[in-house]
Amino acid sequence: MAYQTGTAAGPTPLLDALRLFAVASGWQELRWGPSGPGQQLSLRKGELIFHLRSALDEALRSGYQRVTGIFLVGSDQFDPAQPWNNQPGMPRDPSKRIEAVGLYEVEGPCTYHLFSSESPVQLTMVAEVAPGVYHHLAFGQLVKYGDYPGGAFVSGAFGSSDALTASASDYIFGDTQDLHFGLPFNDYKYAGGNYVRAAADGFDGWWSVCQASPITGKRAISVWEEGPRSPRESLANYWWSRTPNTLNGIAPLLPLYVYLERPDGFFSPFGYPAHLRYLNITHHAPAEVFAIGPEQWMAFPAHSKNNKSGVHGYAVRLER
Amino acid sequence: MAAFAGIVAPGSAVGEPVHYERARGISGYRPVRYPFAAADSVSPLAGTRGDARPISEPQRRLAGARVPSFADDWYHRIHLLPPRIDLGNVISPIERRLEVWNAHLQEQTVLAIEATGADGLALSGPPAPPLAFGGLQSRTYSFSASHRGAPVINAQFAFRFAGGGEMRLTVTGRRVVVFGIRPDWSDGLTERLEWLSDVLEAHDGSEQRIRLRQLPRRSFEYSWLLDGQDVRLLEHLLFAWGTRIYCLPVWTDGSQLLQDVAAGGRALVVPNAPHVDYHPGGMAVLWRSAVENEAVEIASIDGGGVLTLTLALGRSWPAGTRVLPARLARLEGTTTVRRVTDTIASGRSRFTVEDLIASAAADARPTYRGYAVFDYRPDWSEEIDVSWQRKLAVIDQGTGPRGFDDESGAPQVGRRLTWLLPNRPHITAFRQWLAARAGRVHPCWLPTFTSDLQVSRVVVSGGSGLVVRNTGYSRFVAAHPQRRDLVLRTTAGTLFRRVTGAQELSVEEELLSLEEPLDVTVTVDQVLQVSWLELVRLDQDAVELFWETDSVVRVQISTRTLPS
Repeated sequence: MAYQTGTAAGPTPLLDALRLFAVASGWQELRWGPSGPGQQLSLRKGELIFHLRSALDEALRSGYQRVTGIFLVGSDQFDPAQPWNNQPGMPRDPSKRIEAVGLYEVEGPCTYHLFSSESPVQLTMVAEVAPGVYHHLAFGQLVKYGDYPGGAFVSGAFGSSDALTASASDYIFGDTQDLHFGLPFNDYKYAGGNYVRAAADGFDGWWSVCQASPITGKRAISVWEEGPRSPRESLANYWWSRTPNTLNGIAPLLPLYVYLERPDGFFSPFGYPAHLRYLNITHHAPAEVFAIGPEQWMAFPAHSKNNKSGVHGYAVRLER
Repeated sequence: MAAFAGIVAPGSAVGEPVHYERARGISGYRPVRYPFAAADSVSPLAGTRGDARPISEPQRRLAGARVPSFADDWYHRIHLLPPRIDLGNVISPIERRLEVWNAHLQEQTVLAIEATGADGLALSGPPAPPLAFGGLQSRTYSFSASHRGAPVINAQFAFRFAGGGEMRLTVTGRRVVVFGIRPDWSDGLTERLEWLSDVLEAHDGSEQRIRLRQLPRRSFEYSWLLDGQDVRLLEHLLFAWGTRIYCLPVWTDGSQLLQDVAAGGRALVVPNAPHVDYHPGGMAVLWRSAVENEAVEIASIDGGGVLTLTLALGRSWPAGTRVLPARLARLEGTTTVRRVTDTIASGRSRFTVEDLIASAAADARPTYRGYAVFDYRPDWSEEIDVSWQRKLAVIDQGTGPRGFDDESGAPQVGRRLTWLLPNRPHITAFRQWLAARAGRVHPCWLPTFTSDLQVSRVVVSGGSGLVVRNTGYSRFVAAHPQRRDLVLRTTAGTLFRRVTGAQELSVEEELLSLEEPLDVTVTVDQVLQVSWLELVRLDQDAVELFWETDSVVRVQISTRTLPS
């Protein structure tokens, strides 16, 4: 099964839908059981292991806001004696406290879209948590530019507890006109809602895709990071200024390249998710399917089209 | 090594030497251009020239990774533009363009185009396969759909390429023809709306009602009387099209064109459009006769009654042409044609509508205790039947006396009411009220419209007692949940009140206690009518609107009381 859509009445039914879809798509269910007021789910495919937990007005840990939705983390191994949030090789801050990404604001019934892809493995969920408001969760493996250790990623519309705000640190291109709420691999978000597993420069763990102050101690960026000197425009900004094509109305897709920050302050290209693209959705309705030759993609707004996220959006590869 | 015979031409051995001479008037040099002196060239030499290619060149290897871009998403594949064609309702021949673009950088050859389910569909333009598409070459096919063919279009055109690649064009749609046989209005026209609900009745008579159908089914039934050409047309229509989907004009909602419209036009001015059955995405029919008509698809409707069409009109239509909304409908059951003479026929047809849309639901006003009051007096030209039933279980073993169990302890009162709706606003309001009922699901208040009580004493403002002629209410009913709400029609206004108790004052009078006092003084002479107000639901999921004309409707419904 590569695509499924339906409705779920809350976080736990939403997680259950993801579970059933993942199992039907070849993921191994390591654990599915109660955890506090919610449910915890552990999934494996090959060497990839991910853990999810439905949250009902709960905080990830002390110091974070209470949220309702789904937490997501990755790990190296599965320890059945430990709960979902204490697994070996999870995203942690320098003080060894858990960090996660999430899909929150699931306050009532919502429509979900589930995508499964191979080569490399990726599982994506996009939920319409309120009319016109879409949040995502994605996890899997990046296409790497070389033979490096790691490559797993977790991506969410939120970080460990971040509410989406229109603050000065929560936009793209340094321009408040370009709010990006919830975009996959958004590196302009202060704390980050995406982690990439990599071993480099003596650090073997999860690198936080963010603008500054990486919450895990190591930073990765994607395509929105501005340059240090004039002109400061990022790759995404150059690309954005040319989309959609004024000749035929088609918006090119931009792969979400991921770079790791090196000790000297420069960045090394690491990989990209094969089944996600950055997209200007001016000419697409939310959840609209469009074709590029034999391939199909589904367009989503980063948050809500022509509202909090303008026409910033992303496309997920659709295989049926 | 290949050898080529030839000569070395003058000048080519040494090229063009740069030759300068002093320019006049300045202390500098300027280059002398070709031709230059013959002495500068070598003599022609005959012989052979060897081709030493390929020549190995110094190589430099760089390690790295290729970073993909949108080029990888866009090239190295075949594009069909558009990838899918939805024809919608094919009511006239349609032509579309299909572009096939080889976005590979190398040649790709189409070995075959295999069509399935392509009855009445055709691709034309480029030469037949096998056909080579050069690198980045695009060809435009013309796709045409005839209105003759299978009623449901679900076709696939598979472009098979050398090397095993395949691209599929999916075409969907459906064909409809106009059923332009107009009704014989002497028999009227019946429109039937049919909801579906499940009523679960408990032992004590209380109910749980479940709505099972989101949209009511809709059907039209009418008689027709034809002669001459129309009879022959009808027979051929029934012969060829049978139970396929027709484009059925909604004969009750017609109007006329006030001005001529020309072929190629995309707008129709229909003054009553916002108030009748037109809707964006739906259809309309321009009608002059059973033969002479045209179906069009509506893109949008504005408040001024201008219909914008998705396709241009195929012909011109003069002022006076009838314009009607249309529905996709299927002919139901057997159609009997009675041949009155060899050229005259009559009959009756029933159609069920296929393209259902939600009808606006609006409840009547005022409201009382959370439910709307439908205070619209029925047509009393026919008697109103009232039926009294009990939820009675009879236990009969056959050998001894019978046992009886009145399970609910209350009567089930049913009424059969008829309304005559004299104009469009009334018809619209009644339809909205019906939609709000959703068949048997949603109850409302309905007065009995009869003089059930007779007030015998003045009721002062602030008074909460109503003295009426003794009808045995206090003895038999005593504020039973199914009979405790009143509507008092007085010259001072219409009042709704609940009776909380009753006591017999004398053989002539009894006193009803009201939950809420009256806020006006009402004398006996001011009282026009006092009726019981009953909480009722429809006792049927299907309601028939009998259209006497296109603006007068007669409708009959059955109701059943519920505990309030």
